[in-house]
Amino acid sequence: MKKIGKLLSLVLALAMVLALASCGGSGGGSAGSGSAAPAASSEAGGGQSGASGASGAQDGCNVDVSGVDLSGKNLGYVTITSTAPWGGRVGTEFVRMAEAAGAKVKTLDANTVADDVTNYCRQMIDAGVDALAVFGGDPTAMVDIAKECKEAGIPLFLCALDVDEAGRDCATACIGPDQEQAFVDIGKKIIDDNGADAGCNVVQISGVPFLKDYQLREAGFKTAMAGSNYNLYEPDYAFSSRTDAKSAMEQHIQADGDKINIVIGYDDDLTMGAVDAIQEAKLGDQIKVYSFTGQNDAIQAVKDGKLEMTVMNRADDIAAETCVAMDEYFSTGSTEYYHYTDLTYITKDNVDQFIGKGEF
Amino acid sequence: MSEKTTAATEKRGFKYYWSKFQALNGSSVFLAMLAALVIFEVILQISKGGAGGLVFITPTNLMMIFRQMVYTGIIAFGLTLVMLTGNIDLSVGNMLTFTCCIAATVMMKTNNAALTVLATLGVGLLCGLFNGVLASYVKLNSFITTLGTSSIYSALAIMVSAGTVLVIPNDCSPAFRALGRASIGPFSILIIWFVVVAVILGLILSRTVYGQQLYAIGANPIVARFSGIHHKRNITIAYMITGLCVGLAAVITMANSLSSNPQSGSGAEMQIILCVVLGGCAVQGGKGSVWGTIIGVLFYGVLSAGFTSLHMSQYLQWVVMGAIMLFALSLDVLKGKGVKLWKRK
Repeated sequence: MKKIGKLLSLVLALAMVLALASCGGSGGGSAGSGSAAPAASSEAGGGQSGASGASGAQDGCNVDVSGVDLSGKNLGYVTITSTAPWGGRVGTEFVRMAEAAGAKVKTLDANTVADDVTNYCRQMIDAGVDALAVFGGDPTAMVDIAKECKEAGIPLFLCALDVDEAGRDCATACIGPDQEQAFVDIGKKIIDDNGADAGCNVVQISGVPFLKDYQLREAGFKTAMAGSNYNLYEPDYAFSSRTDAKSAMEQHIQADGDKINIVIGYDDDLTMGAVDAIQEAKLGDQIKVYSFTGQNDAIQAVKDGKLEMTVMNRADDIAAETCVAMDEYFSTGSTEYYHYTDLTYITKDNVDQFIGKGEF
Repeated sequence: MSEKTTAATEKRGFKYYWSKFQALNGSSVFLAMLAALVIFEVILQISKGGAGGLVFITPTNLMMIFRQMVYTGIIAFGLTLVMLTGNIDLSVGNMLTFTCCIAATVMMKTNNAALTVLATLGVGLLCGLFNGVLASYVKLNSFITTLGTSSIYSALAIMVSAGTVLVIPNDCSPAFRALGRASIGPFSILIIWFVVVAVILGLILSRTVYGQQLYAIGANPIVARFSGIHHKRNITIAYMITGLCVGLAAVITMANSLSSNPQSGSGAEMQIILCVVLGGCAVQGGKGSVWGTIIGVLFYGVLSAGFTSLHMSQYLQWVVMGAIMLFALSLDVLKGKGVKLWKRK
């Protein structure tokens, strides 16, 4: 009986893994090419057809890479995932732009396993690449990689990722948006829109409280609001659950429905839960919602008048800025550590050009 | 004389019903929930200056709390069966994430509501079967087993979603949307799902041989085995029912929110277990009921809603919830040891 039980469990495990692996494969595929993320698909397609010669720049990219020359350079690119629409796009755009600038790029995909990011970085260091670019990974684990890169004389470029402070002297550049400053700016825009002395009550829908991204965003927003008489409610942490975000918003509406003026969402996916609650309560005219990340359904919500603004964080900007930072390093021997990329505000005035071009 | 008799009968009647009520699982939590409702109402009235009638104890708010707890409740009902046998399922949170990702993927690829429901329920059932076989036939400790399978489901969710948010288009099949958004009369379909699952599982536990056997397994597994109860099969079925409940919760969640994040259910298991324990289900097994779990779920909902209405910091909310869980578990242990907390003078 014991043997039968063990055999049965093994067969079950195998059956489940096989069935679900096939499902996983199709899911990943759909994210890039199917109906799962038509925007990502069309964007990628547009990227291929829209490549403009040697510069590698494409429509909408805010970074000029026309003067970048990476001829003869062997570059390594390690990514935590090449299948997620946004993360994958950072990689494909970087490879395309770098190759257009004359470099050869070797890519390794850690397939969402953070440990493999560091393992693959070491493989690249051992292979003696001229420069290493990394997307995603663990900021703490990257400290050792930064040190190893410095010892090996290989410049390290971190895309949308910062290494812990202990490794910053060893890494060459960190490329991406300054999220804290972004939310200072968003906060200022909210004050501009509504008046500095409007005394608005602001609900904050946040994500994971111990993730640095959210901490920076909250800190930036708090800084911006410090000079106003706005009343910030304690942040609600929905982690990654749109349902929880909706529940939190419903509860705020129940308690203070007539007093809430503004909702600031620190992530579009969660914000859309709050938008749902606001629409169900028919308070869309009273409550203005501001958000971040530029997700497709959030962009559509801007178009539909349900969302005041979302902010798109363009993948190709990060890819292009990485190429610019590399070019500067190879030309001059150094480059600034922080290369901040622009964020695109999507409001009702410009939303039409972004419909279907979000990251998810 | 006759007046005295009537009074005595009334007195006996009250005592009778009171003792019946006290014998119910979760009766003290029910009273605590009522107290919490009143306390929140009073505090909110004070903070708002006492104008304009009831603030917290309104039909709209109570219905909303009910609706918000549907997903948690449905899974908690399934988990009640597992915990009655003295086992536990720590994988329900990540199983929910995984089945949500399955629902989203199938819906996005096929736009077929029936296929999505079948696939999601099927995967939930399979996950439950996997947990059950490991915990009963392979005799692995359920705590460790489901901790391990939780990690597997989390990884599978990331694989299925490619690590990204899956958003089902707004113009998807109306039949699918109706599963999470329709209303029947004044009631949201979410509440109807909650009631249907509660009634079915409540009847299974109280009116079927299988239900009684689950109590017997939890109360004394050795005696249950010698009594000829197929404890392995029954435990496995309990896990499968839990898996099915998770699958159903996933379908409803996706139909309502149309968005699946590959980490959305992580950590939900603690909330679900807290609800089951609050409802009077003994962690050692053998004691508990669906009625008790309903009370546990609603009590959690009332607390959570009340804290949010008071704008309490979420960190503080977690501290209070954690303290309540510890208190409930301590009561459970003390009751198990026969300690009487309140002695009549």
